[in-house]
Amino acid sequence: MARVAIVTDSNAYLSPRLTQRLNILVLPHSIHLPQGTFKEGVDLTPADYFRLLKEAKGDVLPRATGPSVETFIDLYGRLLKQTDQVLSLHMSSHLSDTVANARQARRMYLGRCTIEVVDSLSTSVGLGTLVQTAAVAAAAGHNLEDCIRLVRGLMPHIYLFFLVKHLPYLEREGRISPAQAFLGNMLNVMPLLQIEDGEIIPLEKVRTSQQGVEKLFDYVSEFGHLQKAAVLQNGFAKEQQALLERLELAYPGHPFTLLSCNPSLAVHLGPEAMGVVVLEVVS
Amino acid sequence: MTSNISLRLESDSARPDPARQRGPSPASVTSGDHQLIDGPTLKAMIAAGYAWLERHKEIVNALNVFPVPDGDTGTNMFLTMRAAWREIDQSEDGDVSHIAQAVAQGALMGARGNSGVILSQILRGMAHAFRHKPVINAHDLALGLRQGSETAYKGVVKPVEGTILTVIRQAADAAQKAAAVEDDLNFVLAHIVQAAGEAVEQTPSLLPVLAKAGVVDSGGKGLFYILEGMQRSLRGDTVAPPVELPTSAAQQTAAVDPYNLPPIRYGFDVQFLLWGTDLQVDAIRSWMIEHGDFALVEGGPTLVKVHVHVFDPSAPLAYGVQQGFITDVVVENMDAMAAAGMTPDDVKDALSTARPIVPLTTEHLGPIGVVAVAPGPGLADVFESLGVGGVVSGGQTMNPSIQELLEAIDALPTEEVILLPNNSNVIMAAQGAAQEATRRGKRVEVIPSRTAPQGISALLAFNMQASLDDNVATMARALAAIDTGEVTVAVRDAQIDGMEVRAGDVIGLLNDTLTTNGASPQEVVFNLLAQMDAGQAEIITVYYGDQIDAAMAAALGGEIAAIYPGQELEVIAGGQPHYHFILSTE
Repeated sequence: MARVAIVTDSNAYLSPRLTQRLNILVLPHSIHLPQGTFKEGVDLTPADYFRLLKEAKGDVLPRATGPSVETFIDLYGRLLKQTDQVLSLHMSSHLSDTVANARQARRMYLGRCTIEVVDSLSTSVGLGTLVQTAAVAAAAGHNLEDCIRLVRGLMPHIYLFFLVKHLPYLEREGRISPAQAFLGNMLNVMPLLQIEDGEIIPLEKVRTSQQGVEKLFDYVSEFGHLQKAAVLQNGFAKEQQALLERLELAYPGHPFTLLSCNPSLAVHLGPEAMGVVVLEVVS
Repeated sequence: MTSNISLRLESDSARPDPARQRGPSPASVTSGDHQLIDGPTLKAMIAAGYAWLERHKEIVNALNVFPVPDGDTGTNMFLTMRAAWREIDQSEDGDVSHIAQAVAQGALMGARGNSGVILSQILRGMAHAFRHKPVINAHDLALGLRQGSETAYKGVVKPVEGTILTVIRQAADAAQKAAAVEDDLNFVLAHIVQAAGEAVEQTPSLLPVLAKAGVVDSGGKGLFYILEGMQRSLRGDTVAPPVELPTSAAQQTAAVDPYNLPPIRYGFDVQFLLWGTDLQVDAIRSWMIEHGDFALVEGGPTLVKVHVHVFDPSAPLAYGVQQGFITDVVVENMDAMAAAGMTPDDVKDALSTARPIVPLTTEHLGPIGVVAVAPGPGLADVFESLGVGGVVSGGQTMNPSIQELLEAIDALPTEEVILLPNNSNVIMAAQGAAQEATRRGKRVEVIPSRTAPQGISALLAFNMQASLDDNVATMARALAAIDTGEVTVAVRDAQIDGMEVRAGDVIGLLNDTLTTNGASPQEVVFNLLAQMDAGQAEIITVYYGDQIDAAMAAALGGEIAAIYPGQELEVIAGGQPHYHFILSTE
């Protein structure tokens, strides 16, 4: 039996080296900026994205669209020449149209092979972690069912927390209600958010970025043991450093990955955001 | 002695008394020896207690420990009694239990301020003791006071002696002793009033803060006047109810008017615009609330819109012309509208405007709604911007009643509600409203925020996703994370906590305690910031009041930023009356 093919999208934020080594197929999100439309991870790095955003005039609300149905049809068609088992694992359906597009494309091949489209209910490094786990299992010869079971078992152990400076990005696509987005109009209030079951959920609010660092640290320190953790930011370099120092003290010897927010997530969080992605130790 | 007392009790309760079946006994309406109180007698006593308190209201108001223009005890107790009286004003019920029940209900809903809430609890305990009793004797009255005292003590988390609680307890003790030796109610009431008076005088020796301020407890004094008024009524002295109140007698006269006019039931709906240069919106609002119903007063120092229901339309207009220039006067006779075929509800709907409870955004509230008391329009906006569904205006100077808080709770579509009183003198009313709302089927929790910044701090910790219990815990913790400074003017000379202030001095309070004074509000702001250790804070917030204009506030902000360059600073129009600045550091 041929081995399971793993498909994901650029929101998973995996390095080309890793995707190549684990044979992961990545379809890019399209990022729409005033300067043009770019393919995430192909002709647009996070640094490019934030530079273009800064250079754009006026109030810019960039958008992202997931890989199109046609792209999926095309990729699945090519894959089916090599395997009859595909695991297509994507950015939360609450944040992107990717899952819907993949599911539509899958219908083209109904009965001819097994394509499982799984909504990760996660994003960015969280999604990347799930994809990597599935790819390692596939490489080890596990079948599609086992890969899916592994992914589903891991999903509840991934936590994403963010501190966000501006809310229109979340409000625009109904990711957050207008009442919540109204926050911060009077006082300079920054909400703390959690991505839970694929949705952006407001937690509490803080008035200074120091308080935000405290809260993010508090959230992480509720986990006794971390298997994997990454700190993402843009526009919060100083705070990222402060958070990192606190985390390294609390979890000595534990490596924390430092990353910029990737564009397909950053379109939702705005130009200034900081977050932590945690994979807790699964007992 | 003991056996003698119990004998009396037994013989009293066992004695068949035809008067109980027939309604008022002749004895109950003559002065002199009083054995029983019936419904009309109790009603007259309540009216007298209310009137006597009204007459001495300002004396009670002057007893505030802190010389700050905060919700005055006399006014709060008076408004609580007024609400109680309104429940029975129209009643001709002969049954004591019905009158007492109505009084308790009215007082509960109308309770304002901590003293008003405790007063309502006393009345509730008494009503409970009088249940099923068409008439009461001296022993019943003593038991009523005892139960009133016990209910009041239970209603307070940490009962403090030297307050209204001590006064009701000692009054109840005296009542029981007196009733044990004499059936005459005049005798018993004389002992009650004497004991209450003595208890009031003792309050400074029990509560050091009173002794330091050189006053007796205001709530205790207010209760004393109510009891004294009741005593005078029973003794046969006339105590006229406050003038602005319609009496049932007046209404009966109107009903038999030869021109066949409709009876005065609703009075007049009066609206006008008031123009001036230095209008005191809060004072105007207080006057309207005190003299009318459904008072709605909005505006600023140059223009105020007034809308009020009164029985005498000349009163608010006369008051208005004293304050400034009035235009756009509208006076509607609501009784005439009723006579023209509108139902009472139509009339009310057509004309009534409830107190300004801001409507909410129902879709976006989440499963838990929040009600907050805001002392000014700017602060109301801040609370709304933080997701508060129901803002009740008030706090400083005018404490909202349980009823007003309940209306805001009821207006929220959520089953669970968090209530932020944002003023130490509103906390008990908030707890009363929470209990009442819970009885009606909502779950309401009070976060005991003592200042507006504490309320804001609690709101930031509010998490829509968390359960009510978790939110209550985290929000209560957030109260401690913030210091509040308040700048106002002393309303009287005072010597307190080693500080001597004179009426008119600018004073500063740190977390509700007088800590500094100075020549100007600005100077007091800097004194407070130093006391708040603002140099160690992350963020300083300044909410400026309605007496401060934006340019002054900005100038002060510049000075603060120069002295505290390491702190984030926000300057916000709070719009609160009387308090030039409310500061917070966190």
